[in-house]
Amino acid sequence: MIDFDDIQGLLFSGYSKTMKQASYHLLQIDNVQATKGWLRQMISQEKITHGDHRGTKWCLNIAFTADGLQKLIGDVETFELAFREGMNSDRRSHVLGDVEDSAPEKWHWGNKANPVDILLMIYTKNSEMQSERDEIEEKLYLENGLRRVGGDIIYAAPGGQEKFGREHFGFTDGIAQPVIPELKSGTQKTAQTIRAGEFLLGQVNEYKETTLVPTSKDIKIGLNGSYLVFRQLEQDVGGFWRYMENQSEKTGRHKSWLAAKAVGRWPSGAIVEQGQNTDPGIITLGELEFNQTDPHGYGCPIGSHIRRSNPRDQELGASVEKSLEVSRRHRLLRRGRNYGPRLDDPYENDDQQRGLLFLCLNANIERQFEFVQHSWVNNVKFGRQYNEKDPIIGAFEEGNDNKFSIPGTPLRTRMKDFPRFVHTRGGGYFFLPGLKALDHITG
Amino acid sequence: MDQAAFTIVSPIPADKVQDIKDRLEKTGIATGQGSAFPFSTHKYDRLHYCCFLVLNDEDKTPLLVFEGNIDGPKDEFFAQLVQNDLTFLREVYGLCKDFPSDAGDVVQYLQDHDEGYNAFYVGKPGRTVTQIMQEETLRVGIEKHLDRNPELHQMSPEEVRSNIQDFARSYFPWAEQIPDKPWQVRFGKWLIGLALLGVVAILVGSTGYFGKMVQHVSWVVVGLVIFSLIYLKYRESRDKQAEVDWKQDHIKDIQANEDKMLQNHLTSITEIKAGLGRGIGLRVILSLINFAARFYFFSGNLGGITTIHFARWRIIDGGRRLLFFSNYDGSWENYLGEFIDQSSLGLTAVWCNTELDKDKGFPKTGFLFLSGGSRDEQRFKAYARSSQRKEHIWYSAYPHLSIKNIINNMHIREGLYGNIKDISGWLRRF
Repeated sequence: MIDFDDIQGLLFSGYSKTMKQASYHLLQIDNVQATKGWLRQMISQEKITHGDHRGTKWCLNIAFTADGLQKLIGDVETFELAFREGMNSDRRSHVLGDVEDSAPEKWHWGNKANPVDILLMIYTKNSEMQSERDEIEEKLYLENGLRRVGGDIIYAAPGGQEKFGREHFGFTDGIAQPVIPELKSGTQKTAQTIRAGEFLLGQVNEYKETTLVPTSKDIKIGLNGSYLVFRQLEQDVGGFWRYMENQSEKTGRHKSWLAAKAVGRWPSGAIVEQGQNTDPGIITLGELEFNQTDPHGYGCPIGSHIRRSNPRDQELGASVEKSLEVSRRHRLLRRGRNYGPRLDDPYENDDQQRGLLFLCLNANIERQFEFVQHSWVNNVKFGRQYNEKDPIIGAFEEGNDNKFSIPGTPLRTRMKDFPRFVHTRGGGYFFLPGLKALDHITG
Repeated sequence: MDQAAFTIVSPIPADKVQDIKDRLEKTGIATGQGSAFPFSTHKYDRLHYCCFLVLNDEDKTPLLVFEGNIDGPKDEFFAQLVQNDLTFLREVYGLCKDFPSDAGDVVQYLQDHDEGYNAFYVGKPGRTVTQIMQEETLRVGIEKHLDRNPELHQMSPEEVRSNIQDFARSYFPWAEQIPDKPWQVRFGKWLIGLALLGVVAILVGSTGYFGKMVQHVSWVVVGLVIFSLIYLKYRESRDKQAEVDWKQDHIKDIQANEDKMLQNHLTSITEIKAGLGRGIGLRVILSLINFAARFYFFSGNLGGITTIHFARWRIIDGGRRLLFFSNYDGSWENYLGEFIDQSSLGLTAVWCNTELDKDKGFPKTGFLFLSGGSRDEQRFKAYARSSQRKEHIWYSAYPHLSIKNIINNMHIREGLYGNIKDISGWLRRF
């Protein structure tokens, strides 16, 4: 039986239905004892959202980097290597495509110049509540041996009323989310539901094994915790649409068709189907069965963003069952939000920064998050390709032959000379502990 | 032309180990291709992969291992090696015992120290380095032609293919000739079918004295199999498995060499568990895998794993250790994932006979290899990492091509001329 109340609320929900605002505070520990006091106060006042309770006005969660955890408990040797090394290590940067302009040296936070120890996440109903909460919490942490990293508080863009929002290129986002029957009563297990152990340490995962749990002084401090991946991804919206316009002239296809082919869905969220020229306007929900409906990618290209981030029933095994089994072992629980104002003219960037505050939870960073980035998104051999990356978030390097093939008859349509549209501005691997673990952390 | 593999193992005097490592590493290039290489690999147009590493484990004789995969006969390759790179060989091997001073004897030295293999898998048998490179230039040429002629998009598939044929005839005239496939690729499955049929025929159809003989032999074989299974199950229940031990410094060291190119190399060395049953069982399994690799798994797919270019196993040290080499596409995480997800049975069958050290065995299996073993994902991955060794030099002749690419290119060439059923399918290959 899973102890829901021991688990931080972010595992259950991203709070987007009720909490339309969010702020992210990246903190460094200057005084360990004071920080522990601050944490103890937070615990005793029950500020940390846990289980499937929802605050009515605000929700709060907290996570730690390996550096931060080490300052507080001394020994993080049993935690995963990726977490200990950090996202900004040479190897991870290479694997994640954080090179050139996206390299950690250029980040605003999370690199060697601006290391982070703690991530404090505050979600609120509306902007007044957000200002109020931020002021209270900021005063508390600044007074208790903590310092903010990277300048200002990071704010998410306010959420709208629709169930699925749109990201900055204009496409509906967040449609496919893993469903975890153990955490949501009333859900049935199907071929596309995922076992809790893929996201929660100490539970049974998709290998039908209990995940290993990091320990500290013989206490299973990792129990009911999760690894949290946080990346600030800046989107070059003007660059994206100007590129599509440019390719439209070269290929003779409409720019919105080209963009939809690159994503794999139309802006409305409808899956691209063979023969379509315009957005049908109705979002496609539910499980996608590419093996049945689109094995060659004539509708939704095999190398498109959504098929690369989750190949589902194709590409991963000789049979549909096998492929689904494998895909279940590389899923991410996404909890990200947009940041920055919407661009009025999609073809001309203004001087504001905008993009995605990418956030996901997983129990095994190398097998899940890094695997998706390395073996699917940035894998030039994905699908049947020789040298192509994910057209939307691929880490394209200057001077390479960056292209994207759209399957078609009699021949594929090629988009060439892709620039990079999404750049990393900050990032880190965090540990989101259970409530009992938090008790141990504070000593 | 058939592919061959060599595994040259030379003992090193204990005091020379660091020297040899330094000589191998001074090139500053751990993995690579082309003329920046420490020895003139561009002269070896039949060399697919090779690597140099030093095995220096506690209580064991240090060994210098030079392994590789080539086209054609090994002695020709060794002769070429001695002719082109004697200086390099002398520099590296000169510190080993018994390395001859006379150039004429070096080829003999290499042959004498070549351990061979217990099981050898080739991703695409018959495909030589030359063919692989040629077929890639063919594909690239056709792709450029397609990109430069957008009016082709308005034609029918037949017209497009005809147009490509005209183009290829002028620029790639050699492509029209289809190279022969190795006989085991052409007839392998037939052979297996015939062999099975033969066994059934003998068992069922034998009469008289011969029939009685067959019966007796069958009972003996069945008895042996049952006995071995019981014995192995008994051993299995007493074997201790290695605790999950992520040796993080060791892993970081090995990871530093990974993903510099689109392919990776893996060297693994494990101890073979004590006991006659284990040694024999391992040799039997490896022979079966070798047989299956030759006559069945020759289309870039080893029981579901589609990323291996070359792989082989060799029992060394007088039956005490198992060496494994693999050249594969993509990341280690993906590769191990494939092993676990797709062919855990075969994998477990081999490695359940091994251990990292006394009482640090392969993850516990259920019945032999029917459950557990490599399916215990975290334990298996930790075991695999602990068994890995870092190579000092690794060479790949075509690091930009995956095995799927190579097979795709082969199909492009084979489908270029003549009658083919699925022209649209052929055009999808571009």
